[in-house]
Amino acid sequence: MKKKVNNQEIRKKLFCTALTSILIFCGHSGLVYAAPGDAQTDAVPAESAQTAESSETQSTVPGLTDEELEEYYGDSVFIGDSIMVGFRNYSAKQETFIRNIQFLAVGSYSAFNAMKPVNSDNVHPMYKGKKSQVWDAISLIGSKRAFILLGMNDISILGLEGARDKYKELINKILETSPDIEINIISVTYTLAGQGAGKLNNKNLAQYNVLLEEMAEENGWGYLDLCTLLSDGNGNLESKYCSDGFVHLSTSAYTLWESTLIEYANAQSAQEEAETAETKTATETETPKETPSKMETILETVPTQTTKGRLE
Amino acid sequence: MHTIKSTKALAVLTAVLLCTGCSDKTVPTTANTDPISETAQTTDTSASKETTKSIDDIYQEIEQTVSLQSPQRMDDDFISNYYGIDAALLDEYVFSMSEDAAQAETVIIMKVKNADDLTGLSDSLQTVVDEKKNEMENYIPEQFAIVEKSKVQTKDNYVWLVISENADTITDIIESGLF
Repeated sequence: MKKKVNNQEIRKKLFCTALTSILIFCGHSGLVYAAPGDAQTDAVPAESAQTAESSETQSTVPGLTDEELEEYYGDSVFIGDSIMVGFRNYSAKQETFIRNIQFLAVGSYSAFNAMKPVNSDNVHPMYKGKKSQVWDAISLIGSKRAFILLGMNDISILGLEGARDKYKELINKILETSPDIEINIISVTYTLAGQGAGKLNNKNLAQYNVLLEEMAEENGWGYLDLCTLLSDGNGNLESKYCSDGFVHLSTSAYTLWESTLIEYANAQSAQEEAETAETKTATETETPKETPSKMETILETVPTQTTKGRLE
Repeated sequence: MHTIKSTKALAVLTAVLLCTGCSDKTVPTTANTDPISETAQTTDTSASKETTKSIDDIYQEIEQTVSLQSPQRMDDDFISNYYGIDAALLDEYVFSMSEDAAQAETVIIMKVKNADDLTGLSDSLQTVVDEKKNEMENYIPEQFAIVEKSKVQTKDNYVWLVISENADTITDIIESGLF
């Protein structure tokens, strides 16, 4: 996946990818996607923000290939509660890249539960037939990216800030044992209209997502807004995305989730490529002053290789 | 003389009673009696082999008889990755769970190649029960109640687990299909 381009092409590419990044990210470190199809959302459509350069060899625009998606998510671990269990079960039926995603998910899981010791009474996800602390399992798996969806089972116990703080405590614990892992937070999703109970209501869930997005931005973590994609535009879960009349998601919701992951990987890769190209350009412009004439000659005549910005 | 005759009669009577007692066997002949939960060495007779259904056929019968809750059959990778079960130890199996995370319903039937592996597999299925209990307790009490009634069972080279509100019906189909 290597390209040979000259300086003009680098500048053109930088402009296009910078424009793409600005439109997609809208000032946030996370990513907000419009749903493909008919889902109502206020988010910026990622599809319209991506440029469509002609592909010479293995272009990352307009999108990653199936193999590239498998590679991107093949080293990922998806952590969460029963909403994530549903996605795990959905993924197991697919023939696409998501089939190979590793899950650490269990019903009623929460950041609060995750910090408890492993014993017969406490809830922890299974891996290879054993319950273990999620950070230990991640370390065993060797994941490079974590996508975490937690909080619904924390809000009622800990309140919004308490749940957020416990979430951060969990992530820090994961980073202790896997310091190089990339953290991506997935928003919680709404309940069906009027089905909230106690602190678990859509107003609190919306506010909780604001706290999560802020936390992600402060710490340089990714943020994937699933909530807006699956909402009815009025701060509730769209009824067609609900499987049980309450909060769990339907197959069509998980199909949308899968599409969102494709867009997320595309955008992340475009950003990484832009950063790599920018670094290369910065390096080339900082040439030694001792022999300027010779370096100018080299820059004019020697094509520069850029590599796809990917986490290896 | 009278005493000798009485003694002889008593001896004969005693012998008859002893012989009758020795021939009084109490081996159960139906599945309703005790040994379902006992792990046994393979003792298939030619008669039982002829009537034993495949696990696939049994599961089909279950699906046709009972309305399962959005069942999803899991494959070798899944049962290995999450439950540490090596499919290579199995002759055949069905590992079916509800794809709805709010439903605990599970139907697992396995036939091991080697009876020595039954205990390990029973332990693996027990972890499924324990996981479901942990998930549902304090979360969905109705589902927790269903899980609490479930039990891992073994006989011959088979191990099975049914977590369902229709557990009795499903278990009957399994046992009548296998034994």
